[in-house]
Amino acid sequence: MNERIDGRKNDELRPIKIKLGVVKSADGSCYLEWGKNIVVATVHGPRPIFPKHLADAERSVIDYRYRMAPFSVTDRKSPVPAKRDKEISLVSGNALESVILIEKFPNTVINIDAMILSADAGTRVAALTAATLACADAGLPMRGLVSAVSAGRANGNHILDLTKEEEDAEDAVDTAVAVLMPQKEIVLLQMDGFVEKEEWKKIINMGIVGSEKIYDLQKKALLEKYPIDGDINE
Amino acid sequence: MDKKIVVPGDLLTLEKKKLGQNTFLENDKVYSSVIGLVTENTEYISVIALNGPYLPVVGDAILGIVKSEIVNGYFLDYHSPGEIYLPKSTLSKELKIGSVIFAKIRNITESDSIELENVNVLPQGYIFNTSPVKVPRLIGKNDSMLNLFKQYTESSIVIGKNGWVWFVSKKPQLLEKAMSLVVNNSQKSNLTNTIKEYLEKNTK
Repeated sequence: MNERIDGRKNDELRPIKIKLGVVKSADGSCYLEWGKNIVVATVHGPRPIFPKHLADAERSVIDYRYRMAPFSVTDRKSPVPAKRDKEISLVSGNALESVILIEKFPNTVINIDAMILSADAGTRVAALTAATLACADAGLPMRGLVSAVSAGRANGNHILDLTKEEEDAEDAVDTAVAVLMPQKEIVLLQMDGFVEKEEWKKIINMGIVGSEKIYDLQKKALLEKYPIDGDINE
Repeated sequence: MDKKIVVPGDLLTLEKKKLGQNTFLENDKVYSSVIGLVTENTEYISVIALNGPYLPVVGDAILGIVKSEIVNGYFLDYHSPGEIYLPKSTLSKELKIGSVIFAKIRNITESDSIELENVNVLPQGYIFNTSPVKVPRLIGKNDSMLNLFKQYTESSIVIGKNGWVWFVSKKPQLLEKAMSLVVNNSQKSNLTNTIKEYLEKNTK
């Protein structure tokens, strides 16, 4: 049994910290630390969509932007969105589109921005986890919360929540799983690597179980923002 | 009464109740669609949202801000996805960009255009911006909270259902702080008394 580089158990998450409402000019926002990852997600909208030809008379359009700050990684990343950023933005936006009740806001756009300030693997799932909370913080009606986590294989182990070193292992398999809770519907699924069918099922299940832990943390953060008792929150 | 806060996707009840605001039905069960306080009576179960956009309703008294002008009218922002067109023919004086009006929604047409009536142009003042869901709390039962504000901060205040508050005040910072406190603690009980104590403490 190989121990993980940072000493975690195979199904153990890195430490996560969540704070809501940090960007006052946004309709909703979330600051999230996940291991060495730092992400800030903001929501603006629903608001009028420009140019008008992009408007949909039956629903709101979700504009999800996943971007990494140039200083978020060791080798400076250009702020110009790469193909990777555009793909992550597309699939993450699709995930939230199936969750937010967009039919309630025709002819509008909902701008969701997820900015990675510090990156150490698992940024897209950290971003989506934070973006969901930003949407809930903004009061957007949703079917549930999207809880996301990475699962896979490294150094012979099937593991949850890979770090950069584990992603770069020779036998690495890295899956991003995002689940709509409480319905347990998969809304995002991406994979890097080669794996046998049975192993793949095991990894997906690990991801679903892991996202349940994320869901608990998300709920806790939302409820913490609105304590019923206690002193006035200045 | 036990207050319960729910988040999107929380199961509200297994009983057969009618769907109130901010709820949805999936697999014959009722869930909350927003973060808010659960409230129910014998017929309905609803969730009072703790944040959210303004959706216009006929009869609402709202504040609008002029954002642009064309030959025959003005376009107004009203804190909502969309804008209102106000024809000059309905007004007795000229407006500028940034003018604030207080009016009632007379009608919403099939194409979602809003028609206003009883348009009043407000003099120059400040605008406090919050979510429309907080407006009932800012007004209070029988205007209790609004009267507290007016009394302790010597202000003229006009609250729009769309979450904008216009005011002219002798103590603007105190008023803004007091309104922020209400907005950030709207889910707590006994808020009117707590705000009264705060205002008394800061008026000495």
